[in-house]
Amino acid sequence: MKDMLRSFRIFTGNYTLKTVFQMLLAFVAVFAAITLLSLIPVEDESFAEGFLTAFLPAFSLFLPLCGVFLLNAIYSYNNPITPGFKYFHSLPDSDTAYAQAIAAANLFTLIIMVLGVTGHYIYSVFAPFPLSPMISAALALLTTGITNFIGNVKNQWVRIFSVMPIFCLAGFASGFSSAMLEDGERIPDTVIWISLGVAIAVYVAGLVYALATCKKKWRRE
Amino acid sequence: MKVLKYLFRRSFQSRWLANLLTFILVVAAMVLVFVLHEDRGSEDYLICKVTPHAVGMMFAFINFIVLIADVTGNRLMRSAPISPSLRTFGIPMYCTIIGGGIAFVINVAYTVFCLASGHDVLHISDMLVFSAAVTALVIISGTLCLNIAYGSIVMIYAWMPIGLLGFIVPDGVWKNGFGLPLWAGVLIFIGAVVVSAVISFAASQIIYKKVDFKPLPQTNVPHA
Repeated sequence: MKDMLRSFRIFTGNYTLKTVFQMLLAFVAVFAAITLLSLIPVEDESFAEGFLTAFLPAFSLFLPLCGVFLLNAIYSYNNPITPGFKYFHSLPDSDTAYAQAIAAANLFTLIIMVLGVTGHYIYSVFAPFPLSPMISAALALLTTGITNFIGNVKNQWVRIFSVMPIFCLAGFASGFSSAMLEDGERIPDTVIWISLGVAIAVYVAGLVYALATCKKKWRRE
Repeated sequence: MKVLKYLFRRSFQSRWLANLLTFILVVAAMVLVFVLHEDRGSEDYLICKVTPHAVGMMFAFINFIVLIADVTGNRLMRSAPISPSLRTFGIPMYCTIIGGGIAFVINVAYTVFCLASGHDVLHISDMLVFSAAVTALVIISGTLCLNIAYGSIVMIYAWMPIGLLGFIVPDGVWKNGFGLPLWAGVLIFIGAVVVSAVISFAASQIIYKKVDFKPLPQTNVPHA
């Protein structure tokens, strides 16, 4: 654990981790502020309701995003266009440090996702939040798994078009959920559990693939 | 110029595909505005003016977000020898060029559309007012985001004013516009760009004095 933390800090310092935690806190602040605002009684409630059911799910897209930030911060050091590429490759045992940093980034991402999903769940208990916390957890796990698969790929087409469908999926999921909430329906439980199962499978496969191949890919550059 | 070259090379040459895709989105938003154009008195009159700028903001922010990894997020760039000029000149200049540039492109396209299709110039001046507000927001938030340690937090709050426009702008204005003459619109836009650029340069000077992003002392570097 200590080694993992040290390896992570060799590459990014404390900078990236603090940034992501701060962004998470910023989102919590936004959610809390909007919840408090929506509790204030106003004459015209249509705008507040519309805001909650349509605009707010866009914020929950942050959970899939947190799978990308921390991992890409480490993976980018295996790309020759990144400043510091040669320096980090010249360090002794840099391949081991790279593998440990990836493991640490995955661990931190998982912690952030658990925090985010818990916050999302607490929010959905108190306010009529359309997107199920399980769906956003599934999307976050799916993004993290795919980011692990494409971490060392340099082709921009592959990188962008493999992650982009997840964000489109997140948009569609929040749109459908909002529409269903207006009709008084919910996404069926079977769909939620199947998507969560698929996401966990992709996440585990991505993690195993990344840890198994990262040393070889670091040495190849 | 060296730092500007570095920033543009990092955001446009290395990530040309992300830029291309978001620029296609800007063009698509413009085409939608041309097709679904509403005249004064309609409820959606001002929505046509806001939409392309919201997408243009996304184009600018994509550039800023990818640059975080190369400027403040990169461990070596925080203490590189070009750090002083990067932080006090490069970043505010880059944000001004990107923010002002995309707003300029959108406004020119909209002006050509209005003149070609015979709409009056009040449409253009209404567009320019929103353009001024969004461009100022983009320039200042981009500078803060790229210059402060952990500054990417700015990106989350920078979107909020666009979402709050429904509260700020009264109903009558949504239907009939601001009714300003064209010269006033142009003046507001240019003024907003200049003022926000000045604020960005001043802010980055102050931030550089406070933040710990300094080049390493040369005595610590071993001779080859």
